[in-house]
Amino acid sequence: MYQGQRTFDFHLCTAYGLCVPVCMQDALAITGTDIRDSDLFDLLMRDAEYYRNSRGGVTFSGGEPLLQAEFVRVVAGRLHNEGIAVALDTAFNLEWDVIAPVLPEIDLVLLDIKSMDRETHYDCTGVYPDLIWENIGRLRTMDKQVLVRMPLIAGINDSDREIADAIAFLSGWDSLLGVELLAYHDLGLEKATSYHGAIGEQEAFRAPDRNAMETIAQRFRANAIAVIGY
Amino acid sequence: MIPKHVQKSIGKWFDKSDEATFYERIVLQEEAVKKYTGEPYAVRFAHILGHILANMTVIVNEGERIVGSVLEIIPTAEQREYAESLSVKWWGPQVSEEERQRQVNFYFSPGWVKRRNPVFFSLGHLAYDWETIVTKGLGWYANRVSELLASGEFNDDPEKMQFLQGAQIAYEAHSAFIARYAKHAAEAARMTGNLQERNRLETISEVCSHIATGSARGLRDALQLMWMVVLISQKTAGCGVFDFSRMDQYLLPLFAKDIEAGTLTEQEALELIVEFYNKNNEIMFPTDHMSQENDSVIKNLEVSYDDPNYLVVAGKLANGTSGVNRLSFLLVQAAKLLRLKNPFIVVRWHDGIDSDFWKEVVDAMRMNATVVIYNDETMIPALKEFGIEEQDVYSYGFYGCNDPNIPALEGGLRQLWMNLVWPYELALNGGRPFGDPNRNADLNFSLRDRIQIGLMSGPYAGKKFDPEEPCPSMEAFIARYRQQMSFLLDQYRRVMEQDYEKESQWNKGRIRIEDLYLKGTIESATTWLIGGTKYHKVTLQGSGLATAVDSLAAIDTAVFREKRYTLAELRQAIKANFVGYDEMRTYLLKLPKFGNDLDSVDEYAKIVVDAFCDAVVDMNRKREGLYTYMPAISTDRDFTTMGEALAASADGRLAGAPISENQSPYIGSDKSGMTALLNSVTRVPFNRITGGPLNLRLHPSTVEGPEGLAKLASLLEVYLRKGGMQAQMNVVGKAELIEAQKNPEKYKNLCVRVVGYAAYFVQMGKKAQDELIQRTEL
Repeated sequence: MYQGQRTFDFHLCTAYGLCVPVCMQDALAITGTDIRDSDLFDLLMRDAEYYRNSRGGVTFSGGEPLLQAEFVRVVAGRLHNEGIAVALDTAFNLEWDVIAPVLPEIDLVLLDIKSMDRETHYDCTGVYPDLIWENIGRLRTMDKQVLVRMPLIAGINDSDREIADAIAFLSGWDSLLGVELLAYHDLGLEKATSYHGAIGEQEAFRAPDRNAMETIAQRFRANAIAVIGY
Repeated sequence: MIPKHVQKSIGKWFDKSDEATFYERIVLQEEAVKKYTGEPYAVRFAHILGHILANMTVIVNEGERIVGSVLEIIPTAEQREYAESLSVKWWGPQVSEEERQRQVNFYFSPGWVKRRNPVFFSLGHLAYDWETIVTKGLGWYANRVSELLASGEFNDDPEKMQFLQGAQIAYEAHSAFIARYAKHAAEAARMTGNLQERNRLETISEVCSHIATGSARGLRDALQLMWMVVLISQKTAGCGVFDFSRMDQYLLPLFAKDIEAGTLTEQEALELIVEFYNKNNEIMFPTDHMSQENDSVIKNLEVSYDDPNYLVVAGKLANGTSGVNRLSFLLVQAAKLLRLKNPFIVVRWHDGIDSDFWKEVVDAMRMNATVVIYNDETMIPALKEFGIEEQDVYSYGFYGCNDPNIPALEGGLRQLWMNLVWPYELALNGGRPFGDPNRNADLNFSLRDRIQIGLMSGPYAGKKFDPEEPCPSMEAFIARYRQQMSFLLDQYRRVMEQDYEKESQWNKGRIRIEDLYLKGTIESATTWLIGGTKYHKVTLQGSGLATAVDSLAAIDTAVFREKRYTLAELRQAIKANFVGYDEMRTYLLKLPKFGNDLDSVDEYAKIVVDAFCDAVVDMNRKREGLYTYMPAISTDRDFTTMGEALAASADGRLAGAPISENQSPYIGSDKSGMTALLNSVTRVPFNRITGGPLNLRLHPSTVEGPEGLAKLASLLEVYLRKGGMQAQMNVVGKAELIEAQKNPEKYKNLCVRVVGYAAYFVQMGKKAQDELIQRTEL
């Protein structure tokens, strides 16, 4: 406690985690856990019947699951052998050499398009999209089922131009199931706070209104791109 | 669509005063009690019924096609005082426990018994022989009893003759009452100038006139006849909480005949069912009988006020095929349309059930219609293990609250809430409760406990042994647990058998209203209470499952596997209610808990339930007299009361804290998602368990749209296929989310869908929670 605030000096923390089991109020937790591929597989298989019966499956998401690409490849491969569908939710901002070996074990790739404008993309995410687009170009040649998700923020990435570029970018992709349009929400702020402590006044992002979302959806549909949800 | 008059009736119902009373019953009943004093019991009973039915107001409400209502008034202070004085006369402090037992061997609570006159008594909780009622009619019943009287078979047994005479008078009173409705409607028809209205009233009159003695010619007759029988039983004699049993089976021939003849469309059939459901709701009182502390419950003057009636749809037929038919769909659709508390729809799932029907059922559930599911694949073997014969088992159903029933072949509910945590506490502490170490086992199961709800609140003493005696292994501890379980249940059996013996003596020649419509009672001229029906059972509601499981698993880990503490240390800490043992308690609280799909804990679900069921098997082997015992897993709402006398437990729970609820994990301890929760629960050997609820709570966002429906239908189906027994769900509303915000510890498992992902509601920040609350429409 420092000046009435709970404080935590991570420089002094050796991450043994011994503080967690003795905390009576569950105030401390270690996020994430070490797990062996075989243990994760066993854990997932406990729900196998639910996956099969619902024609659902397992989605690897994150963070970025491909930061442990080999791990994902092994577990997904074993799930595949059991007839369980596997989806991969990735930012795709990795070298193709990392991605390629995993793809044979993936039935459905979930991709984000955050902005079709290089500068906006850089401003909002901290990286240029060149590598992502290059990877998407390679993926298009592979006949792999893909669902593209577009988080939309009013005035940032919902302009006519952005949408037109996205449509052009996605048109003619046979194995694209469609796009899912996600109106911006700030439910993630809580998560950010829990990582970084109290964060300053957040820029006031807004979601496009319902009509704008509908118009955008219409434009995709008019160009033969299915809209899965918005 | 809900017909307009039904909508109006529902609107009125929600605004009903909590003082509304069917006051005529009180006055007429007391008049008759005096008038017929001195008559043999069964005859007097029937005359009381006849007097009420001959004089109570008959009512035909606007628009309705199915009639039968009672006149409700707000009693004046004077009227209320009179009614209260009767309650005091029957059940006041001057009436000793022994006298109460003589009058009524078993009742649910003082609140339930207080408005019921001991000479005109019933507690319902059973199923009539509905199929015979609709297919043969009341005239058939009256004729049968006349024939029995004339046959001379019972001439040398005056009490049996009185029983039959009583039954005869009672059937005739039923018919005369329905005929009064026919007459009333005919008169009203003559008074009206409106042609449509005249038609409606004339049809009502024709239907009532026919069913006063005749059998049902079609669906409308059947529902009208059933409703009249229910109205009479429930509102005059307090015989409610019915199991309507398999309505989609016994009404199917009538429904099919109507459809074939073109006299009824499916839409019209649906509307009739909606009316019938609404009738069941209309007579209820907008309160909660389980909240005996509610002012409105205390002041209530009714014999039957908010006890739901159950009905059963789908399920396997005796020939192994599915019972799902068009009527099954309509019965579920009507519940979905109305979404009322009453009636309560039990859908019996079986392997290979029609998938469209299953979706219809799950859709009703996600809309919070009062629909629950049970699993034939576990229920049928369980009922067979506990004595139900093959020829009867497929007819099984339920009445409130979630108690199994073999329709028409048994009388009302008797139960013991077997607190599964007690044997564990006794096993840990030398057969003595921590809270009362000198207690003698002779004090267990007092007369009051037995004649009332049978709630096992405690404290209890078990089989005494030296607690310091070494316990070398977990197996040895489990053996102690089993020994204490058997000790308690066997003791209960012995005292209850003595009670039933006394009850038999007292009830010779007596009759209860339900005897009129059960199988076996009339034929043998014997009330079910003393053997008139084929089956007699006591439902043993195993309570505190997860608390017992977590506590035993904690001992296994802490004492035997990790050897972190000895049994003696644990005993000391529990005796001290963990005061001064913070470290131990924190350690115990963080051990794995039931509900997270972890084998090391979940294996105890089987150990606990097998211990329970084996003890019940043993009771049945030793039993003397009429009753068999059947295990269920349920606490209803009494998990708080049943924790009060318990010491702290090895799962880290503090002394006096609630035990776990029904089949759920301990509150807040399932944190691994819905499939993990369900996987844990399937570890209970449900093929030995005959009933009880699993409450699931979902946020509407997780079950939205066709995709949400498909997922939920699949989830529940897999649960049942893996050996789950029952599920009922609550898709949470706004109010509950606000409650979760205030008491997050009780809602740790509440999962919500946030656009593309799912999160635990209580782990979200206030702002995000507020946004979700705003998005929740219900």
